[in-house]
Amino acid sequence: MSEKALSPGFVLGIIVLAIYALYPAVTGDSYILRVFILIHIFAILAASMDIIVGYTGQLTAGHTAIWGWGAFFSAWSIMYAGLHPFASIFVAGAVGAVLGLGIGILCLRFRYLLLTLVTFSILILSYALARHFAQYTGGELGIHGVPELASSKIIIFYVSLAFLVATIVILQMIGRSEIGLRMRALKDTEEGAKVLGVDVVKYKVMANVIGSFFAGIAGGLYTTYIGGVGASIFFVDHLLRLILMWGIGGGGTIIGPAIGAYVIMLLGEYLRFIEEYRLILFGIVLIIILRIFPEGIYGFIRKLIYRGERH
Amino acid sequence: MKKFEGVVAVDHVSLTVDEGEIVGIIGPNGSGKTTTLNLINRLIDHDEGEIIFRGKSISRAKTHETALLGMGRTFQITRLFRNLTVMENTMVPVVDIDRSERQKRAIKWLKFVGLYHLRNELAQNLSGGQQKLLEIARTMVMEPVFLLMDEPFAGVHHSIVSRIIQVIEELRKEGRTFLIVSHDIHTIFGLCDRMIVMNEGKKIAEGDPDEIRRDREIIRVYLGV
Repeated sequence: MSEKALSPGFVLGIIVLAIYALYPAVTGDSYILRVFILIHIFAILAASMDIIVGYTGQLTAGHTAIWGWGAFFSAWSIMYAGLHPFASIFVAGAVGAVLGLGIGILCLRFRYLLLTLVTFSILILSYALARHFAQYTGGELGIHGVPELASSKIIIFYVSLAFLVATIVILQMIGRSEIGLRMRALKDTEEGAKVLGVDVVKYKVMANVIGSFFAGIAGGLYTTYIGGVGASIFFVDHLLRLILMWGIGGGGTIIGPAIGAYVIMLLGEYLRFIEEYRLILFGIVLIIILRIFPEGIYGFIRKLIYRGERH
Repeated sequence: MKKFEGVVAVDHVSLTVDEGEIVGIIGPNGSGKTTTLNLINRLIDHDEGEIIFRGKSISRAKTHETALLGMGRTFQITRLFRNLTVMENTMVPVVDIDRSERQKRAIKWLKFVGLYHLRNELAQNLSGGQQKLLEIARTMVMEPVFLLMDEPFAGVHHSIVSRIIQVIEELRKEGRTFLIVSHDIHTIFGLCDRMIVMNEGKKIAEGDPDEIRRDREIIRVYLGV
């Protein structure tokens, strides 16, 4: 085994994952299962956004739109094409990738805040379309009665966890490869990357396609867990929550935003009693965390584990 | 030719650089020197004219394609990947060799410019001069045949200027060609085989350094006397 595989972070990660994976099987608490399944879905979404935002610096606000369309296509592929819910998750991933390709190409001309505004308008447009074509989408009420992935919540927990682990492993591999290195490079300076032979357009679009594929997967998981989907999937709340997850967890690390998903979702659950003030509190928490840990929670954890070591 | 919102930045400039030559471009601020370099490696589009590189037109090429054809570029304000380490900076270039070979090449050029001991340092932690050297090393991993260098001596400690001159001279011995923009008259006159003088977007003179040094018109334009 390589020296890298035995690093303290890796060992700690395996132990935490093993305990975590055993927890629902031991307790069987359906409330906890429900929360964790949703966390898995959002963690996939947050990690997949990181390859676009954290790696290539494209400040997209349309990631939840792709997630939403993935969710709808998953439902349609089950209802109209008779696909198995598990297969529909991959259909959602493919739809996400295609949308990512389109959005990636469309957005090449835009940067910074303008890119955010354009992609945000895609989210708003998606909501309008979902409401307008209610005969296909169910409008605000949504589509119901979509067959679930499995009858047992424990099985859905493990399937969604497997998807989350696979997403993180694949995105980490990409992030640590030459592709990831060049993505990080062009985030710092596109001109600097271009003069070294890096096809900036290709890498930016590639990040969109990869990230959107996993956003679609998250959408498919959502539909096949909830058993339906509606126009509300395009609500801005989801996007705001996703941004908080990304920022709090630590962008540009893949695993950080996934950790952020746990923090935000669990905080959300424990703070249910202050319902309408939750977002305000989230904002305050984000400011405090970023003030104390500018590299996010994951960056802080890494510093603790690798203190004294040079990376 | 290149216009920016009606202002002519480079006005019908024609220049040739022969293989193995070091050519310098001098001129006052705003004379179009950097724009000329940006036109050559296609960082900006030209409005008129043609760019020929090694016998082929690259007028429609993209910047990354010019790099793959063997054109290297460094900048006045370095375009380093600040959040990557020194070593990672040298691993970014797209070169058609396997990773271990590229790593060897990166190490070779980092040693060449004297930065190998800083390989694990983030690029943003280097001094201005070291950043210039890293940009050269990073460019050299692609082993370009033609290097466009914009103000390589600007804002750099004199000991690093000597090192950069040494590096350029050693690379020239290997047969590489240079087009260098610089305000450092003393250094560039001593380094170049041929000089081009620009003013207000036009090429106003061309010749060997001694010839240029004696030209009264150039002294007037450049020094304003």
